[in-house]
Amino acid sequence: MIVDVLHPGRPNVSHKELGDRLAKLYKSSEECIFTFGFRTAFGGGKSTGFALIYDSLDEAKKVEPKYRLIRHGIGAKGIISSKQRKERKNRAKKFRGTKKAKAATAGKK
Amino acid sequence: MTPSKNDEEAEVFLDAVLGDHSAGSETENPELAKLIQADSPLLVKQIYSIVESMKSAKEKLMELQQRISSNSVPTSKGVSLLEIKLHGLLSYLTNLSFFILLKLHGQSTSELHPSVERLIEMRVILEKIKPMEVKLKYQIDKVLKAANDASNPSAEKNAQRNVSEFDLQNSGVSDPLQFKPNPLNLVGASTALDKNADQSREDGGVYRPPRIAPVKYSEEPKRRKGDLSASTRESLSKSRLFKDMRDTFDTSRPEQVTSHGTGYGVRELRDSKDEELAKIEEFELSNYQRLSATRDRNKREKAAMRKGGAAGIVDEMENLESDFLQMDALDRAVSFDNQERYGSSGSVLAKRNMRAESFFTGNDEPRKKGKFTDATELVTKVASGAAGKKTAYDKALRKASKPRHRTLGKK
Repeated sequence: MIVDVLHPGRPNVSHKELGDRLAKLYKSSEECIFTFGFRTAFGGGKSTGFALIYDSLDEAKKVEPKYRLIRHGIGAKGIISSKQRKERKNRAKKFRGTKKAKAATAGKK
Repeated sequence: MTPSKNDEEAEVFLDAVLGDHSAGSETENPELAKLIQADSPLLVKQIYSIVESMKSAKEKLMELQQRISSNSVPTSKGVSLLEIKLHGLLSYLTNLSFFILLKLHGQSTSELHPSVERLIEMRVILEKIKPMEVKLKYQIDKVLKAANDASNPSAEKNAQRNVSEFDLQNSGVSDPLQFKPNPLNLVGASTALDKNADQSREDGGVYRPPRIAPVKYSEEPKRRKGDLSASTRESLSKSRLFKDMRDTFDTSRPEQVTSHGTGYGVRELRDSKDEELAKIEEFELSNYQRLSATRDRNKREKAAMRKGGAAGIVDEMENLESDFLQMDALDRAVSFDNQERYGSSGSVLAKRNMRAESFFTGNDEPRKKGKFTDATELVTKVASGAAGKKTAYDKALRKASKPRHRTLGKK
């Protein structure tokens, strides 16, 4: 759904607070509410964005894209540092096929 | 079959049908009896026609059987596509008639009877054959044509046209089974030789295209020549040049500026920037995803900014061509109007002469009324397109001009 938030006098509202308010409104739990795409209108005081409310967390995990799950705290992030990613890639270059995965994790140790 | 005999038989049939039911049913459903009475002669006729067609089909079958048994029709070199089609159709027909028989006897066909299975099978086969047939169509047509030419003696036809053997060989007419394209056929050797071709054609040599697919016919309301269509009015009311004209001539109306750039104001007048933003917003809200600015959009914005876009300055010369094209329709309408009023030339001189004449002769007769009496009226009329009516000023105008019920002064 599309959510219009009126917040005069303060900068935009955090995802967490939005989730709390929506949970109260729609009588669901905050863990099933995913908010995204909020843009504050010119001049401040009003922001518009989208929110999705799921029936259960399992369904949400199946449907939602990874970045939103990570924002929520559920998803697994993986290696972020670019140096480590490049090292991993170079270790895996020596092998072909499924052995790549084994090599990537083995070399780390 | 004489009609009287049909009626007799219909009565017999009726008795048979109605006699099957119990004695009380005749009084129970008289409507049913009436229906049966009305339909029964038709049914009898149909049955007779079926019997006759079956007789003729039987005769043909006997003939075919004889031909096969006398080995005049070769059936030994395997099954060809056409044979499959024949057998398929035949099987389909027999199974279909059996199915109809079942239905007539009132047996339920919800369980899959083997005849129904056969029907489905044959249907699938026939449908699969169809694309193959389409591919073979050209060859089959060629073979048929060759057969036709062989049966009709074509030597007479060629002799009439005085075509030499050399030409025949080159045109490939002598070997109709050749499938390669023949460029000489493009020229149309027969029409070149036959000089009466044009007159002999029914429409006197005019090309009439073949009507293959149905095309929608949209009945437009009858337009008079000098009229402006709704679409031209729309595009005019949006054009910048016309807006300038309106500001100059329609002095009763306040000048309107877009509210682009400010966050306020209902966006009544939309320019291209507003339209773009509106489109993006619509997409975002309906698809639940935010669009980021693309590279070319950013480039365009930068270029517009560099040209003085921050202050809203637009180079007039750039869009002059499109503006004048939009005004072209208006120009035509005005010139037609002038022609109607001031004679066929419609020029300014003619108008002046007319005016002078009426002044000197003292005739105060009303001049021919044109569609637009002056520029202001022209502008207001043209601007009455959809874009011209939406603004708040127009709405207020309409409201003010609407007659209101007066409750005061009632006596």
